[in-house]
Amino acid sequence: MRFWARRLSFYAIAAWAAITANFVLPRLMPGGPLNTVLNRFEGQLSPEAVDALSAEFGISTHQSLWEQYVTYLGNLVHGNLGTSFTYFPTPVSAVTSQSLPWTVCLLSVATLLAWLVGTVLGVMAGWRRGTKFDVILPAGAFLRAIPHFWVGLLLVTVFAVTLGWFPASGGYSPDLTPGLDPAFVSSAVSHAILPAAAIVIGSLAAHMLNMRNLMVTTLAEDYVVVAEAKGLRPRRVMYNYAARNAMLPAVASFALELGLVVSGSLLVEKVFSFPGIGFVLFQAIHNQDYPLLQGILLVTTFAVLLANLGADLAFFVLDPRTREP
Amino acid sequence: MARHMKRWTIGAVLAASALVIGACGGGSSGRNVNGASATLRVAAAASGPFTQTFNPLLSSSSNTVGFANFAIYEPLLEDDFAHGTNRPWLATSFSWEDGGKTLHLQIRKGVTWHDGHAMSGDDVAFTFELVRKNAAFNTYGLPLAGASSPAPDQVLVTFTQPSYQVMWWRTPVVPKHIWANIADPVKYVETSAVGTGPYMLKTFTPQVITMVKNPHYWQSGEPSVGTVQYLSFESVESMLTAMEAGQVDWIGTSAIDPRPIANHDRAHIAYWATKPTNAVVELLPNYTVYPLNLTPVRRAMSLALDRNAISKTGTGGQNLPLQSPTGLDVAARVDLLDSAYKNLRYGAADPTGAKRELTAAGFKQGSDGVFLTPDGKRLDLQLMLPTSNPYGDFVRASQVIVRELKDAGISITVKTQSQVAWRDDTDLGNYQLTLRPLGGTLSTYDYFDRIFSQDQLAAPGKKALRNWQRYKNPDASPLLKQYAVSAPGSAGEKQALAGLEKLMVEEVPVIPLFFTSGIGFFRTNTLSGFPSQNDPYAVPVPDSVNAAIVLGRVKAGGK
Repeated sequence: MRFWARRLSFYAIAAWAAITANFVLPRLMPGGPLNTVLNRFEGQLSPEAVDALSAEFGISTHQSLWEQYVTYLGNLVHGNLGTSFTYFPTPVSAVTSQSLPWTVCLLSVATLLAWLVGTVLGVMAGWRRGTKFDVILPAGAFLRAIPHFWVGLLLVTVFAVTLGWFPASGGYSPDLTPGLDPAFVSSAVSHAILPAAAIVIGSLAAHMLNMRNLMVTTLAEDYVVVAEAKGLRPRRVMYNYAARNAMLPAVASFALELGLVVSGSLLVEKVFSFPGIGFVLFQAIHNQDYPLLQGILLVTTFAVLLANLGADLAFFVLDPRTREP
Repeated sequence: MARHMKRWTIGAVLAASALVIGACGGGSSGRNVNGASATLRVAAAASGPFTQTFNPLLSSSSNTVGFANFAIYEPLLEDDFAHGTNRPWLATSFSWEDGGKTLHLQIRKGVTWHDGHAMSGDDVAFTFELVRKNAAFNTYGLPLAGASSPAPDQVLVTFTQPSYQVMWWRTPVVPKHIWANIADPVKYVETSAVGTGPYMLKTFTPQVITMVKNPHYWQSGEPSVGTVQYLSFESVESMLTAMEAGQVDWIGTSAIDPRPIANHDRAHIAYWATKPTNAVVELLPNYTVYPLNLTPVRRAMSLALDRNAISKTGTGGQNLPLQSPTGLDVAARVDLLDSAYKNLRYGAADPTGAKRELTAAGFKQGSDGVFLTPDGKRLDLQLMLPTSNPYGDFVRASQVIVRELKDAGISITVKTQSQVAWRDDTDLGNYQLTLRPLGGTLSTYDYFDRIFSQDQLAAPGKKALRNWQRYKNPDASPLLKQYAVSAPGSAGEKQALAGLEKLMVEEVPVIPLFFTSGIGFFRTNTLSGFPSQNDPYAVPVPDSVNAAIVLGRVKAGGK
C-alpha cells in the first residue's frame, strides 16, 4: 500500500510540474503568435493586420504572466483547453481530437509490432549467440542508424512513385468519407502501411539489440545454468528462465515508447502527409500557438505518466521484489 | 510463458498480414476525365490537416482550409498582378466622391449565393459594416465610417479620411441573410461556406475538402470541371511526390528547382515559375548602424550588385531580377514611373563605380582590399537571414551578394536564424543588413509606405510595423501624405510619386534586388487551361487570390 501511495504522490507532483512547464516553455520562445501569422502572409497583409489579429486572438489585453497562469490553471480544471490561434476559431480539443486517433492507431500498432518483432528476434539472437544468427547484429546496427523519415522517403520512392503499389500520401483516399465502412477502413489501412513500415523498420533494431544484450547477461546467471543442468527443454529455459527475467527493462522501455505514441512521429508524418498529431504539434510550435501547444503537451504528458503507471503495474506483476515494502 | 510468447508471435504475424491484405483492397480509384464528371485535385500549401472554419474575413483562416476559401468567396475586384491593376469582379466599377472619403461601387447584377439567394449591394454594405464593427476583420486597416446601399446595385462606402490608396477591394463579400443572425461573428465557426465563387462546398474532412461546380456562377460557361478537391499536405516534399505519382493535379510552391519534378513525367507535368505578387525582396540597411546611415555606402552597395547574376546564379532564375532603381515593377506599372526615370535601369555589377562612391566619401581601401571608414574602422557588415521556408532561398542568393560586395571592398558575413527570430530582430532593429520582401499588393502606396513611413519611425529596440530600416527623412512624410489624398492618375499623385522615386534612386533607403517566386505545377494528362508563360491570365499558384480565376478556366481533357 505504501508503495502505491508513494507512486501516486510522485505522479501528482510530476503532473503539476509538467502542466507548469507547458505553460512557461512556449512563452520563452522569441517572436509571438501574431508575428508568425504575418510571416505566413508576408506581403499580402498590411501592417494594420497586427491590430486585427490581436483583436481576433484576444491577446491585446495586457495580462501579467501570473494572471495568465491562474486563468490557465482554472481553465484546465474545467477541461477548457482554449481556442487555437493557428486554426482560429476552432477549439483546441476539436483540433486534437481530429488528428489524435490517426496517430494513436498508426503508432500503437507500429510500436507494438516493432517491439514484439524486435524482442523476439533479440531473444533468439541472445540464445544463439556465437552462431550464424549473429549477422543480425551488424544489420541491426545499420537499421538503427537510419532515421525513420529516410526509410519513409525510400519506401515512397520505391513503392508509391515507381511501383505504384501504395498511395504516396494522406490517410485515406480523397474519394471516400471517413466512417467505419469496409471501403474506408481498407483505404485507411493501405495508406498506413508505408508509414507503419517506416516506423517498424526504423525502430525494431533498437529493441532487438537491447533485448539481445539483456539476454546475454541473463544467460550467464546461475539460475539459468541450474535450469539447464536440471535438463529442462531449451525452449523452456530460453523463454521462462532467461527471457522472462531479461525482459523487465524492455517492458519499461516499451511503456515509455507507448507514452510517446500520442506525440506522434513528426518526420514520418511529414514524409507521408499523414493526418496525425505530430504535424499539428509542429504547426503549434512553429506558429507559437500557445493554447494548442499546451493542449497537445498536456495530452502527451498524461499519456507518458499513464504509461509509466502501466509499467509500474507490469513490474508489480512481473517482479516480486517491487512488492516488498 | 512459452505459450504466451507463441501467441504473441502469431498475433504479430496476423496483424502484419491484415495490413498487407488491406493494402490489396485499397489502391487508387479510377479517374474520370470528361467534362462535368472530372475532378481537379489541388494542394495549395503544406498547411496540415484542415479545420472547418471558412470565415473569409479572418486573415488567419485561409491557411486552415488550405486556401479553398478562394474558390468559395469572391472579392469586389480581382488582382491582376501581371498588369499591376484590378479587374472588375463583384463590383463592376467604382468612383470616388467627396475628396476620396466616399467610395461609390457599382455592384454586378445577376450574382447569386450558393444557397440560391440573390446577391445585392445590401450584402456588400453589410460586409463593410461587419469589418467596421469588428477590429479582427479589419485586415487592411480601412478607416471606415460606414456603408449603405441606396439601390440593389449601388453601394456607398464612407471613410473618415481620404482613402484613395487603401486596399478596400480585397474585402470578400459575405451573405447578409446568414451572417446577420450571428451574435459573435469573430468567433463564428463558419461551416456552411455560402459564397458566390465558382465552387460550392460539398463535403469536408480534415484531409479533403470536396467542392462541386456552382451551376449559377455569374461567369457564363465557367467553371467546366465538375468537382474540385483540396487535399491537405504536411510538407512540400510530399506534395511534389504526390504530383509525381499522379495523385494531385495542381500544386503551388516556391524556392525549389522545378526541373527535376517536371522531368519525372515530362509528357504530363507542366510548370510555370513566375512572380506570384509584385513583392520585391530588398536588402535592408539598418540606419541606426554606422556607416549604413551614410548614403554613399548604400549607393556603393547598390552599384556593386548585379541583379541578373543574383537572380540567375543565386536563385536558379526563379526570382526575376528587379530592373528599375525606383523599386517599381516596370513590367506592370511603367505608367507610375516619373519621366526622369522612365528609361533608367540597373546595369551589371560596377565595383569600380562603387569604390569611387566610397573613396569620394572619405573611405580608404585597406591592404586586404576591404575599405576602412573615415575613422579607420573596417567596412565589415553582417547580413542576417532566415533559414526556413518560404525564405530559405535567401541564403543561396546571399552567396552571390557577398561575393559581389567583396569585389567592391565591402566585407559581409552571413548570420542565419530561425524565421521567427529573424522577423523579431528585423522588427526590433537588431540587425545590420537583412533581406525582406516588401509590397505584394497592388497598392504602390502601400509599398512606398512600407519603405518611407515616418509616422511609424520606431526607436531601436521598439517594434517597427513599417520602415524596418529606420530611414529618417522629413521630406518623405509630406510626399506620402500627398500620395494618400491624391486621386489615382491625378497631377498630385504624379508629383508625389516623382518625389518618392527620386528618394529611392538618389538616397537608396532600401536596395531592391529581385521579386519573390512562385511555381505552379500542373498535371496535363487529364486537364488543360492552366495559366502559362504563353497565357498568363492569372498567377499559377493555388494560394493566390487569383485561384478562383484559374478554377474557372481549367477544362477537362488533357493536351
